Amino acid sequence: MNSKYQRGMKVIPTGERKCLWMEAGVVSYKLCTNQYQCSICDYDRAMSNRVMKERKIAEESVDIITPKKEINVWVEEFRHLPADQRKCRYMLMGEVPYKICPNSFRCGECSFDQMMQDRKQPAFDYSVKNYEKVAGVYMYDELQYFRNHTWLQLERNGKYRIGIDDFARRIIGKIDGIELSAVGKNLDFEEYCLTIHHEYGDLELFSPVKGIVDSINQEMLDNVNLIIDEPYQGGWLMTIDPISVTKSNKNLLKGDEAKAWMIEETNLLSKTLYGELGVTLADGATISAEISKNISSEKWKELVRKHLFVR
Amino acid sequence: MTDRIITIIPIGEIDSSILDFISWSIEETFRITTARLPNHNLSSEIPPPLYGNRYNSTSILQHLSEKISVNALRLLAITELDLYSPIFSTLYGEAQLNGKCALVSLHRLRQEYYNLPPDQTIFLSRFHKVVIHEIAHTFGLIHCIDKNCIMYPSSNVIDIDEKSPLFCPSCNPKLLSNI
Repeated sequence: MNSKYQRGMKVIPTGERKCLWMEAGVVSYKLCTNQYQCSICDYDRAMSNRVMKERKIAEESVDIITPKKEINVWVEEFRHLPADQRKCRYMLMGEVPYKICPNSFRCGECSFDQMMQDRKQPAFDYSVKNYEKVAGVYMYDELQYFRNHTWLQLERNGKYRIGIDDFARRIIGKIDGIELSAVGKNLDFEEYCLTIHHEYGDLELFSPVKGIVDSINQEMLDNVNLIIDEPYQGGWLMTIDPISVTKSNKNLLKGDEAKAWMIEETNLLSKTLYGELGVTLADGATISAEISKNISSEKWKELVRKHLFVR
Repeated sequence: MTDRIITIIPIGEIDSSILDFISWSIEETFRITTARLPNHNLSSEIPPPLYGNRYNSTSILQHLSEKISVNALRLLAITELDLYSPIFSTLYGEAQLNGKCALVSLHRLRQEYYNLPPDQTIFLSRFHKVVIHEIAHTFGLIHCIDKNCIMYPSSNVIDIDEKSPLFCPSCNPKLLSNI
């Protein structure tokens, strides 16, 4: 199979996007797996490093032909590429109508990129999102879920906004208070990052990602009922600047995988709350937000330990 | 010795044509004969309704398992009452996993409940799926992640309408081995 034929086979699956490096023609095929968050993308970092290294070699010895000389050539000739191969990532994402990259896709050095990242991030707007009720629990297709019933939303600036999901707020019931890790704290993966005060005892939840606490929701701290009333909106907890996105992503659930996990969680809930009749399962069920009132504190503690992995 | 029969017990007044339909439906699906008990009225032992006239389904199941003595493989109760449980705020039906009793409510299955014109075909289709789903719980099947499987947990009537009346390739062998 010749290379010309191979070029003709590059199909971009529906819903997928080309990596900037593919868009510019540097690599033949690479899809973006990171929502154009180039600043935290391991692939982009590797490619940028390679470009810098090649450029340095070329500057030191112009006569030496390196195996990757074409990358260096590309950087030098970037400005001569046609405009449709130099679309800024914000144009590709549809956030600006027209912007051509003047900077060889080196977003970390781009003033326009910095300006876009400094914009105030809008709060998660559920009214325009696709939500679905799965086994009586509200879930959003746009969100990622971690197995301790925290949700995560990857923001445009590469930070994760996190909160607790509908399942967690229903079994917790009523919150007396909350303490969050301070802004700037370096959280390891699965390090405890928040404490919820409840009448049956304190719940310590761990962080679903490794990173630095970037901000906390002050409005929610002033009114902790927001966590129960609006778990996906005003009740968000904090934003985390992730250190290792690749490692974090492996542990997060999304789409059908998340829905299947939620069904298993509701099955486990029924099994945990067995009574005199043994285990009963229900159809058409919406988990009651008053579970904690209807069960003993010991049973409730068993429930939150099994589902939220609390300490 | 337990007879290989699924006994149906109407709680309150239930249209006999609906009961005839579900008897046929159960026999077709599980290949087990059905029998029917006279209408049963709930005694005062059942807690009063809460949350806008909803009855505690777990209490009704408890009552059935203690008070109704039948020599049958399974006991299916059918009611027009709206139900809730200590864990779930609303439900169409509840059953003992690997147990004897199942309970199904007709209350939220009719189109009229959602201010839509009556449609007996849709109602019977929903009724069939909920009943088979609940009886399958008593034979040890749990909720399935396959959206087309009858054991998929419905969150609303749209979920019931969308799922198939059949068991998926994963649930079907489990059911056959447990019957």
